[in-house]
Amino acid sequence: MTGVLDGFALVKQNSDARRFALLIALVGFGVELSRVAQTTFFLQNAGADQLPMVFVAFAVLMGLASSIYSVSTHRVKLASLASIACGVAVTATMAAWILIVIGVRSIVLAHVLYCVVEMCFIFLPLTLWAVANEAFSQEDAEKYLPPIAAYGLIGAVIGGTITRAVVGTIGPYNTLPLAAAAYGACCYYCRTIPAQRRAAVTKPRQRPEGKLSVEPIVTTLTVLSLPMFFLAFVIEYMYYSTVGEVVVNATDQSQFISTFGIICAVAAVCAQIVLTPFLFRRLGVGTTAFVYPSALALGAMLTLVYALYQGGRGDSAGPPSMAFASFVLAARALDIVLYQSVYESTTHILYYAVPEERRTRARSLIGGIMFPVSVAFSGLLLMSFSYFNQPMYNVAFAAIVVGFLVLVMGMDVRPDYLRSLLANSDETDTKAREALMDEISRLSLNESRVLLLESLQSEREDEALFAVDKLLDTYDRFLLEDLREIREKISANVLVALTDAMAARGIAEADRLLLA
Amino acid sequence: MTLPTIAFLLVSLVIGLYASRRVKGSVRNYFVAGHVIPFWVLALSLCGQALELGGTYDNTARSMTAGFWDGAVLPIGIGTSLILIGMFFAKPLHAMHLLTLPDFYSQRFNTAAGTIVAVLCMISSIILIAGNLAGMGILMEMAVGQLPHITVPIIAALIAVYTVAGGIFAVTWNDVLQSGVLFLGVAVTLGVLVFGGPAGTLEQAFTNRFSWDPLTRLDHGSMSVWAGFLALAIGDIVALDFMERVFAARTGRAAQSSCYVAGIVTIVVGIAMAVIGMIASATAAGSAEGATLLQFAETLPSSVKMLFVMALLAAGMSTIDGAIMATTKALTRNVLQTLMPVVIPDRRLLSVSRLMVTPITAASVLLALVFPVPGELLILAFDLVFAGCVVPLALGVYWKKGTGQAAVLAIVIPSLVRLLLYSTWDSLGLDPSLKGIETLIPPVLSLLIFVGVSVLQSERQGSMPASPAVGAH
Repeated sequence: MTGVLDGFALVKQNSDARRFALLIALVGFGVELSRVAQTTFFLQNAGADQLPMVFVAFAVLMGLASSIYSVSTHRVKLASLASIACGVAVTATMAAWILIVIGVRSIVLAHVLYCVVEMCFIFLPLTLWAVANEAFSQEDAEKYLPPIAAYGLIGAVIGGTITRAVVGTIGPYNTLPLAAAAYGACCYYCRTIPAQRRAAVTKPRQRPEGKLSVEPIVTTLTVLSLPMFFLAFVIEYMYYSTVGEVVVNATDQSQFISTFGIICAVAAVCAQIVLTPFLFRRLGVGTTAFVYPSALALGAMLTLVYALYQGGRGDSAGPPSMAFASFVLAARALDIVLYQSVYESTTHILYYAVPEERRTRARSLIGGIMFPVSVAFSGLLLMSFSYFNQPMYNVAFAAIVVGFLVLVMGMDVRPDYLRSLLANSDETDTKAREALMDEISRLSLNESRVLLLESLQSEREDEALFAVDKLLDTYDRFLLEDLREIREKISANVLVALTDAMAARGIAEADRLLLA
Repeated sequence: MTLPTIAFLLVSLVIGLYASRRVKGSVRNYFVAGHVIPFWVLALSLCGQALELGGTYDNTARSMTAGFWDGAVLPIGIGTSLILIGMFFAKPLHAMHLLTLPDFYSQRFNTAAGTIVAVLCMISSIILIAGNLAGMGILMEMAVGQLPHITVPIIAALIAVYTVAGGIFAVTWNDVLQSGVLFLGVAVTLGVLVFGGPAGTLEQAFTNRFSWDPLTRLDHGSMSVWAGFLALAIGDIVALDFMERVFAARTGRAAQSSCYVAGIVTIVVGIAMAVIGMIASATAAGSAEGATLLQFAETLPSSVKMLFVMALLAAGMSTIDGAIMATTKALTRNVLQTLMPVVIPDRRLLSVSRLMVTPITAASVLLALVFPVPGELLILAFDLVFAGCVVPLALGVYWKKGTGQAAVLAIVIPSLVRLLLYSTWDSLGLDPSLKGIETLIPPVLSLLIFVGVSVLQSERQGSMPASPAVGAH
């Protein structure tokens, strides 16, 4: 807990960190205020069965916005782009509110409002984190980013609490101007971010700049994002369907949603200040990245309980039992809480294993392409389930199966994070080396051997020499067998260094001759 | 049920193909995953391998028609074998960094012993694969309405593709999915039957189908039950597919712990399946004359039926992929490479291994389609392994005086005796209550031969040093 308070104190002392904390908090506050209006309006005017359609629409819009953002990053400063994004959010939110106030109650507006709020939820933090990543070095990022993320959650808690308090009085849709005001404040503060660029710890080196796929961690995160976001959206679909069935009245719905939002935000704050640092300390960054995929797999199982319950009820049965609906709520809470705390903090740090230039592109790839593709894929798949009249338990079962896929893919994050760290750090990068040694110390002998044997075959000599040193610390006859198997793939210089190091450690000449 | 079936098969394929990126052209990665499989994956993988269609579908069907012990003896026996592997073999064998189980016989005794064990294990594995494929054919007919001659080759091809691509990584990672689906299906089905059925169903089920007599009375077939139990509990110690997972563990301790966990879970899930069978016997659909398990499954609520069938499909698939993998490894490394070392040097081992998946799968598919109920053959196949391979393994690990010649004789003679007993048992005219004893005679013979020949040889050789027992490491 002291560490957490220290984190907040650190943010308070650093003006940049303070600014980002405020910005992230305002976005969290605004999104939470507008989410109640979004959900209630959608459920009342479109219905949960329209969700697959809106997923597809949202994906298309997101893809479009990402393309514009990607092109703009080469021409406009990231801070200015964030400011523009906030300005667009203000305009869109206010426009939707005005339409609602003048009495427009159409499915189209429900779709538009849904997309606007989701775009704010995804796009505004994305642009702000990009600016923050540019502003902080890895060392600073590890210090400041987790507490900054916690400020975002605190903003969400405040937003949710205010909504819960006022929604009974002003109605579910009049929270939108408050959200617009928060985005407006963001827009103003973005303009105060000074232009700065600090040296990243990891440095681009001999690898070709063009290919992102050479970075194992980027490949894994990219591939993982498709089923992972698919799962998150299936859970979201189940959540909205359940809320639509359990709570019918518009005001009750908005109060229910805001209460749920507050609970999730508070839980996320607690997770961010207690669970995330604990997991980092206990498991390391690589293994912590496995937590969110596991939570999604568990969430899919929870949704099946409700789906089985629904499948066993007649069509004419009354509203579903809250006890069973709570399984879906738990699934959604797991998703939201761990996404906003553990997952976001972990991925920020994972990206530091790759050089800065690739880091930015990797973020754009996952946030700008893979995310909308997953959303569109989820929407299309849910629409096809609906077309073929598939019962909810079949959808839930498909989600569970995908959940296991996510679990399996999630197991690759740690070794691939290490591969990237190995490939991108040298002995002058003390911080990266520390992270590397910390992760390696958590591995079993065989696991570390597999990775270090791969590094031994690297084109980069300092990476291979680091591997030589580490491998020989655990020399035995099985390692000799492994070395013989890959001997032909090791460069001549490294092979000489290897046999010299073996001699220095007093390893028998007969063994060395086998590698010569 | 078409959508869940397609989703399940498709995701299995994707997991397998995804796993291929971890092989990186290395035999050690393809065969034993570079010894990096974590404890929990290994435990799930061993469960998936242990809970094949015999331990699930046959177990439930037998418990429904004949009684608890007739069915439950299968998973209890297999689970016990995993516990025994954990207690006595996982650590010493893992420490040897073996690629296949027959490698142990080759290293500890001689290559002839390794090759003979590989051939015996291959035969039993092919029959095991065929049995599971045949069962999956029947299940697929229920799930997607297509006949086995269409679905069996498709499923076999799908499993072969991902096994070729990802090797043991694909197999163990798929076991996570398959075991998960299996546990889920069993838990939901049992839960619905126990808590959702009419009051008193469970009591009625136990009254109908549970008795201690099959364990204690010869006239109730106790010899057969115990012989079956021992054949599985001790014979499965030599299961190639179990051992390949033990070798793939990160550490000996992880291998040991995962064997314990998998053994216990196998027994618990197996008993749950047997209870499902007993409850089925207490329902109208299950108690009808000549009723089958699938007829009973048709009467379940559609959501539960879907999960139950998926669980059985998962049980079949998890066993088939592991058995294909283990069989091709033994064939390539311990038979083909031993016989033709020049044609298959170490650098070609991986490609030949991948190539061998096709004939092994094709042979299994053929057997599954031509002889779709291989129950008796399956028992014989495991009996052969039980007859000859267990004693040299156990004593090879823990007794330093065992010799290569003794091992070969202790493998070959009891196996031939077992075959002889199989073909002549009915004509011997013995009391039917003794049925099962023919399974227990050959291993005892194997023990006598192994110890006798080893002692004789060591006395004859006098001062010549004996090869060390692995357990002494």
